[in-house]
Amino acid sequence: MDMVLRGGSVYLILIVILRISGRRSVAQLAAFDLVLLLIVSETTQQALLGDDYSITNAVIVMTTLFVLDILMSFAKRRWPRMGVLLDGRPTLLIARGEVDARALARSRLSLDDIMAAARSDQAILHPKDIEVAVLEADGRISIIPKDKQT
Amino acid sequence: MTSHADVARLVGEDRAFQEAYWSAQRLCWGLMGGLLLAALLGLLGAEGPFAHRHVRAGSAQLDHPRTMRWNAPDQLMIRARPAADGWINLQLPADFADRFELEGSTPEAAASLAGPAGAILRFRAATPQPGLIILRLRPRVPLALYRAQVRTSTGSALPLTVLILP
Repeated sequence: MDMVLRGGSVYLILIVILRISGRRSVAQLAAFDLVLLLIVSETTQQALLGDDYSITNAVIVMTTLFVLDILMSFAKRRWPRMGVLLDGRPTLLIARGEVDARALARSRLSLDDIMAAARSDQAILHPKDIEVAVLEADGRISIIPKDKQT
Repeated sequence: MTSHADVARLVGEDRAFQEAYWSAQRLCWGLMGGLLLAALLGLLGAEGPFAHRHVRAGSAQLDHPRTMRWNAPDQLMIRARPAADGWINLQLPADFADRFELEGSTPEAAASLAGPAGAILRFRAATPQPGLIILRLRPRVPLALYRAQVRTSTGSALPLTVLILP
């Protein structure tokens, strides 16, 4: 029983920590973020398995994690507000060509992050050519160029 | 030309929710800072300036961790004077074995006796001076606040208060 509780606890704690840390940690894997994820995965392994390295234990923990993930997806469909809490909502970073400095600062992003997305997705080189920039719930930055707006 | 509100509606932004989320996020960052500070101070177990508590009762002394972690090894350090017969007896509480696995001691107990009030560990003293005994423990339960007394052969009752964290 304690293995299921261990798996469930670690799953929930990780969700909370990732949600608290903000979207940057999840979607934009800079070198530092990759190191962070590697260390977190190594750290949680011990908490998940304890002293029991048997295959049975590993199967129980894995099954627990997958079942929780499935239950979570059902819960998000059943209660959309829960999905909002867990995944967040899109945030406008640039609207009608105007940069929302507060949204940028609160999201721990800079104009450079937006321009990186603009260059890679839309081949835009200058901020004035961006009509809308959105920080999506999954952490990606979507760019809509000015000439595509009506 | 679409307005700012139209754009926000189209992309599904809920600024009021987002503001609340950002505030909650900053609050949680503060809590995470508090958690790290508590860990650095030793309040969550392992090492730190407040990790251990030192108690004295009569001629006996006990140094124990304030916080132990489930399944993690830890130790109690007891300094006790031997009785007139040259033995140091430690009486552990009756529920001690339910909460802790006693993995061993330094020095090894010469005898371990089961009694209604709990186990009694007997150590042969080399001198009449107080001897140091280290009990190596591992908490069995994931969460508990354990309060008990460890009694010595000279009648000292050493209070033991340990928080066990998962």
